[in-house]
Amino acid sequence: MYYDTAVFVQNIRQALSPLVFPSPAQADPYMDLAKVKVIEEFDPQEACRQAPSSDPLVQALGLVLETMEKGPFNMTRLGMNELFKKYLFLITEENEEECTQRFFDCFYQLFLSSLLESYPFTGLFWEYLCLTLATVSEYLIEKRLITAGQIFLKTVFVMGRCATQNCLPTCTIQHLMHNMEIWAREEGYLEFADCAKNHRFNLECL
Amino acid sequence: MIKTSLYTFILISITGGLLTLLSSVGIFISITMQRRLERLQETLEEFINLSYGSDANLTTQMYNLIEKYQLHYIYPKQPQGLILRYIDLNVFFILLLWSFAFIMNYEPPFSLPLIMQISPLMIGIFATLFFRRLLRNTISLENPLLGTIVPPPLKLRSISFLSHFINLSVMSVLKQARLSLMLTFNRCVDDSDAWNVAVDLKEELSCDDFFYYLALYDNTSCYFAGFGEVICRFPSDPITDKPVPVCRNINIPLGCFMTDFSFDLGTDFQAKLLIFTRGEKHPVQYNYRFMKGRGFLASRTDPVVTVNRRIVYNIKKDELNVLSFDPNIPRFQELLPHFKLNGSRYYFYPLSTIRKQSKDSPPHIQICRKGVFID
Repeated sequence: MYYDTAVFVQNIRQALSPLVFPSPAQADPYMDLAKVKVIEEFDPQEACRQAPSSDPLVQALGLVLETMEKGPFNMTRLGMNELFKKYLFLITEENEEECTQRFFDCFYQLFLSSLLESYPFTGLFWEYLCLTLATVSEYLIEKRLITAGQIFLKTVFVMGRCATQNCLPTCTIQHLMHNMEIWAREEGYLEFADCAKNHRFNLECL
Repeated sequence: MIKTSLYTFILISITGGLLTLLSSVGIFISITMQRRLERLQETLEEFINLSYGSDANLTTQMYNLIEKYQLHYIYPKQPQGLILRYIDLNVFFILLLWSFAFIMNYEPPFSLPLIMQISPLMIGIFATLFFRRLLRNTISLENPLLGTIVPPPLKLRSISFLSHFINLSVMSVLKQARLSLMLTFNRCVDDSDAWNVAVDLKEELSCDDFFYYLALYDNTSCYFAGFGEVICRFPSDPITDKPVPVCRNINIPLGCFMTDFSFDLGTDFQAKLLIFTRGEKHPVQYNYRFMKGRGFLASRTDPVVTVNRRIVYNIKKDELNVLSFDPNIPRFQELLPHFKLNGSRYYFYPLSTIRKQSKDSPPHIQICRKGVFID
C-alpha cells in the first residue's frame, strides 16, 4: 500500500491541510531556549508549563523524509512537489517571511538528507530540486514578493554551495539567480539585485 | 707590504673562495628549485587527473588548483632579488680579481703569445658569465629553459596548450569551463520593430586560446555566424598587484545581429558551436537549445557535446585548413576562406533576415571590438 502514489499524495495533502499562516503557535508561544534574548524575562516555571502545538509541516516533512529512506525516487518527487505547491498556495504578502522561512527550512533538511552517502538518488534529487526552484523563483518575482525572494536566495545560495562541494552542477541555480537579478534591476530593487549578483558570484568560491 | 710574488697567489685563493661560495649558492638554488618543480608537477598532475572526471562539477577544484599552481610558481620577490644581487656581486669580484692577477704579472711589450696566455682567462670569464645566466634563469621559472617542463600558470587555461603538450581530452576540460550562450535583446532606437541581439559566450572558467565557429539558425534561415580566436588577457590586479591566471564568470562578446523576430522563438531555434584547438584534428561540437529569461535567451544547461568526426582540420601558422566538411553546419563552407587565428573575433549576419533589406545584399563580415568582461 505504501507504493500507491495516489494514497501517498492524499496522505501528504491531509497532513498539510491544517497548515495556516501566520501559524496559531504565535499566539500561544512555546519557549525556545535558543531564542531567549533577555534572561530576566525567562521564567522556568512558565516555560515548563508550555507545550508545543502540533505542526502539520513537520508531519508532511516526515512523510517525505520517509520516502527517501524507503524507496522509489518518484515518491520523494511527489512529496516535494506537494510541499512546493502548498508553499506557493499559502504565500501572500502578509505572511511571506514566516511562510518562506518555515518551508525553506524543510527543503533544506530534505536537501541535506539527499547528500547522505547512502542515498542513491542525489543527482536526480538535486536536478529536480533545481528545476522546481527555478519555477518558484519565477512565481515569486511575478508576485513581487521581495522579502520571500531574499530568504529564498539565501537558502538557495547555501544549498548551492553545498552542492558545489559535492560536485553537483549549479547551472540552473546560476541561471535563476541571474534571471532574478535582471528582473530586480529593471524594477528598481537595486539592493535585491546586488544580493542576487553577489550570491551568484560566490556560489562556487570555496 | 706583502711580497708581490705571493700576492698573486693570495688573489687567486680568494677568487677560489668566492667561486666556492657561488657554487654553494648554486646548490641552494637547485635544492629549492627541485622542491618547487616537484610541487608544480604534482599540482599539474592533479589538474590533469581531475579533468578526467568530466561528469561532475569540478570547476571550483580546477580553479583552486590553478591558484595553487601559481602560488608555487611565483618565487617571492624579495629573496629572489637578494640572491640575484649576491650572484652578480660575486661574479663581478671574481672577474675583477682574475683580471687583476693577470695585469699584475703583465710585462710589456704586447705580443702574439700573450693572446694565448690570456685565452684561459677568456674561457673563465665566459664560463662564469654563462653560469650566472643559468642561475638567474633557474631562479625565475619564466624562461624558455624551464617553460617546457613546468608551464606558466597562464598556460593551464589555454586549451590549445593543454591539447598540444599534454595528452588529455579537450572535451573534458571544456566541460568544466561550461561554455554557454547568452543572447541579450535590446530594442533598436530607430526601428521599433527590430531587435538588436548581442551574442555572448559565457565561460564559468576562463579557458581560452581556441578557434570557434558559431551558427545560430532555425529551419528557415541562419541568423548569425561568428568565428575567430578567443584569447583572454587579464592584467594583474591594479591594487594588490597580484597576477590573475584565471577568471570566473567571464563573458566573451561574439558580435550582434538585428532581427525582427520577437522573444517567442520557434522550437527549432538552435545553435551549433565548434571549438578548434591546435592539438586536435576533429573539432568539439556543442548543440545548444535555448530557454527564455527576462530580456535574454540563455542556452539550456545541458548542451549536447560531441566530437564532430566529419570535420578534419589542421592549424598551420595561424591558418585553419579544413580538410573535410560537414554540410550540416550552416554557412560553414561559405565562411571558410576567412578563418584565421589572429586573436580577433568576427561575426557575420545575412542581412536578408531583416525584412527591409533586399535578399541580394552582400554578406557583411564585421570585427567584434568589445572586450571580455566579467558578469
